[in-house]
Amino acid sequence: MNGTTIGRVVARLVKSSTAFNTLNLPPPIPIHFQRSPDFPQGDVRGIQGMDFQVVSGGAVIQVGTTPADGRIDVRVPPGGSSTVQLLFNTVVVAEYVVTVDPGALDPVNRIKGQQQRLRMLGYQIGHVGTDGDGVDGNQSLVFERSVLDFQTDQGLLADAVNPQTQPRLTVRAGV
Amino acid sequence: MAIRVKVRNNRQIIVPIRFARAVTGGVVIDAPDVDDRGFVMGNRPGTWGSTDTRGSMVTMTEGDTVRVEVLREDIDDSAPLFVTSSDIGVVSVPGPAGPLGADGVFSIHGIVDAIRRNVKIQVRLGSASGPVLGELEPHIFRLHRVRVVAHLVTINGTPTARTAASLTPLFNGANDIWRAAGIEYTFREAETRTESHVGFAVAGQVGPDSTPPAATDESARVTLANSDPNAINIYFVNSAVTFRGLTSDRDFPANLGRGVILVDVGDANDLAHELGHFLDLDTHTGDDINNNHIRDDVATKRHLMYNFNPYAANPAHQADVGYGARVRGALIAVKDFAFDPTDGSVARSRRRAIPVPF
Repeated sequence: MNGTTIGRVVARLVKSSTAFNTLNLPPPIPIHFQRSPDFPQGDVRGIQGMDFQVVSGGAVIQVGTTPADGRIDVRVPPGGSSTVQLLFNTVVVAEYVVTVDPGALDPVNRIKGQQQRLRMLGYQIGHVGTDGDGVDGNQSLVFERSVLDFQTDQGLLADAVNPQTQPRLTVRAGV
Repeated sequence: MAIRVKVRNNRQIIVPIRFARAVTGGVVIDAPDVDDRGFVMGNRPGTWGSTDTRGSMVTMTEGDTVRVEVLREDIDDSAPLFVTSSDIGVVSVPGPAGPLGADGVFSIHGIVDAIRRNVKIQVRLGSASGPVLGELEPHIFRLHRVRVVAHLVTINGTPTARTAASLTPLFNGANDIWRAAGIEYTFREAETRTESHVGFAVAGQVGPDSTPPAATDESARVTLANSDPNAINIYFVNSAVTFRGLTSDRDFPANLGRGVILVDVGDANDLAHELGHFLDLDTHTGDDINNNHIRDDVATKRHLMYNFNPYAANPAHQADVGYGARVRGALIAVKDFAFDPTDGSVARSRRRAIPVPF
């Protein structure tokens, strides 16, 4: 449990209804704040102890402190956004505007597909592109650095072109 | 400014920071490169012990203060970050208390070359006791001094353009690079030697070696001359057919000569590279000893031991890996990965730097 959901909405849907129906908010999206990328494999990477709040629609819908795995479950309204705010002494010191792309990822043999997966795993690919998340389909020094980081972390020959990279990226990203 | 996060496939990891060299462009002695290849720490020599750090490494000489930059990859520019040391008996973080400045640069002071005493530089959010966003593993080394003797060589009447006085800044430049590994090459102008050769194919020029190398090769004739067994002998020549620098280290047959040959267009980086060869470092171009696979990625080009300087500017995004246009970097690898038999360069070169004669 890493936070408290404030915004659970309960409503009587129809006058004849005999019970209260619950309108759940969208399912939470797990966002992991970590000191290094990729999902842990028997080690601890999470950033523990960060106070946070989640703001959506102008209201604070969640507050908490990150646990050992650095996970914050963020509820994002369909087609909208929520903002994760990191706090220090109740003052907002960092913000993350979270949106959800419900579509399929690009194929892993495309640069965009690789960038999407690397970004998902926390590899640092910069903030170019229309979404500001580094996914632009172009080669760059930062993108190549992230590929090398991934290859190195996976124990692969780190040369940016190793053919084992794409299948491994698919495995680690789960898609 | 808020970071935008577009979540795909219902999962997202955010890694807020990483570490980098404090400057770009030419080598600066107090701004060593950071071995930021991957977040795993690689193989560890027995004296290092284990660590749970996942991040970069930086190396420095005992007693030095160096600068490192924190890159805010996925955290607001205005987020207050604080840098701390996990063991101030080994490494300290000098400077005013308070959050990191806008340039992200901080200093660390290496106090002692401590065996089996792991230390972390930690970047924290909000205060000096705040949550840890990222970690850097520094390694502090006691200084090894290696004596070098320079030779000014004349070939068929054409001398090197260098003088003994001009060598001091050249060695200073090479020492700026090697400072990060705790190695200093001691050069004295007064010990500089001169030699003249005749009968070479081209005046001033060292020709290619035969296969296998032979004592009659022009390079061997240069390195066999007037050498000092208790130093690395460095022979300065006007030019060469196939190289800017050439090294035959102490594993090379003594009857073929041992030492470094550097041509007049060779710069401090080239000299530092050749000295690396003399201290048992191979080039960072291959994934096996036969160079069957040539690596030309942006990390490889940052290595001091990359084979080419300047390198080809293709593809375009590799035009500058941090040291200037097409300029090879000066990273002496401290991380040691199984995929690269030429890794772990700091540890290997330091082992080789201790014993004499050469």
